[in-house]
Amino acid sequence: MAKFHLGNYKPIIALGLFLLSWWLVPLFVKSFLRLSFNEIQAPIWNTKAQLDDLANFWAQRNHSKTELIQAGREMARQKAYYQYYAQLNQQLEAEIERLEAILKLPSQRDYRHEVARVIKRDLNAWWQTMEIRKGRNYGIEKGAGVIFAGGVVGKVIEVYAFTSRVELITSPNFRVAATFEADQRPIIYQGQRQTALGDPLGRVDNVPQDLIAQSNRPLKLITTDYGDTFPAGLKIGSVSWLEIGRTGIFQAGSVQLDPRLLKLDEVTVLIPLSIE
Amino acid sequence: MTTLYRLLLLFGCNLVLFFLSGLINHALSGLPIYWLLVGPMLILPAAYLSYKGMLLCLLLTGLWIDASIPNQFGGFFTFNLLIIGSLLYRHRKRFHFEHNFHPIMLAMAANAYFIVALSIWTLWHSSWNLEFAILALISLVASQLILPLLAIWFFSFQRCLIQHFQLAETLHAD
Repeated sequence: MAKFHLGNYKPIIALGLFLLSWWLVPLFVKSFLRLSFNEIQAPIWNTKAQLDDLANFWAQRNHSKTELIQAGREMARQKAYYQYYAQLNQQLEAEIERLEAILKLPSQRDYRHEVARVIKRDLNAWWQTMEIRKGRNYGIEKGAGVIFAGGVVGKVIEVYAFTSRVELITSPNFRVAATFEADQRPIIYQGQRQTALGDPLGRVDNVPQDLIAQSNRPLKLITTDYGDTFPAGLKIGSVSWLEIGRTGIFQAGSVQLDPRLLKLDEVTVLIPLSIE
Repeated sequence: MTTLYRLLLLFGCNLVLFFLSGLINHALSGLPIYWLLVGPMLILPAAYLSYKGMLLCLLLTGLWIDASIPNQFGGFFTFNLLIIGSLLYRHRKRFHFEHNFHPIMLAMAANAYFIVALSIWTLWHSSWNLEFAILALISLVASQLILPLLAIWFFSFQRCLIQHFQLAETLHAD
């Protein structure tokens, strides 16, 4: 039998001692280290995003003047269209304020919109996050909701000096109170991992049994303002099939999310005005 | 001083690999494929550095990776890089690091360990589901398939830099 030499195990003993001392290091030191390492990395990804922007800029410069004039005309048409809707929106907001004053209702929570570029998408089996190019420097707070043209994107889980990390709506850790359009009862939405090349999916639970979803008439799932993260009425996805859940009392089903979620380049962060 | 420079150089190479894999994963985000390529990062530090140097190099690499993933994973990569690095350091005389065959095999084994350990860690904190198993398996296969090709380049890149900066004279002396 081979003799046991303690010297042979020096590296393992040293590692054990090191890990023990690491375990005893106070939490704030570890948090500081994590924060520092993240702040060091941020400029690398920011530079990469700036270079992408520069490449796009030079690609755009190659367009002919005729193409630019056509694009300008199209933009002018779109602007006129949206100006009309902006006026309509102002009228409706004034009407809401008037009704709130008459009925003495508490006013709805207001948000500031901060548009931010996505600098890194990190979507896999273990985590589903993306990093955006705005952080504490733009007043972004942990827990803020993130949206895009197609509806909800997720929420901010970590904020750094110049960047923030967003947990996607597809993450199983993402849960939010939701409701179906034209139905006020709250249900629970939870993210679900992408399994194949198909569209991203989520899941709804606690759906009342009287609701019927059909593939030719899917139910539109929208946000509620219960959680203070999102304003009510933002699109989450659509449900085209519901079945009796594990409890036997409520229904459950898959939520089809917007396929653009996995390829986002720009998002909007909703910052509650009361935070500022 | 040579050891310190070599440590910094190998740490820098790890950052390059991590950044490149991040770029590819960013571009592949619409697909269910993800390349987790941590295995090659610990091979040459364990082979060519002193024990303290290796610990420091892998500690910095682990902290760097852990800072770029969600907080819920704590110090997963730091902890596991140090453990696997120490085990490899203890047995490093059994392997031939001057050729690529042993380093590639070791990198593949270490990488598979990281993916399996990360999946177990995730399942420990959440419930089992089939989607997770399929996605983790796809990531494992995709990473292991690309790893030999990438490792050939990565180890050659590391050795090339060590030669270029004339840090090779005491390569096996530590």
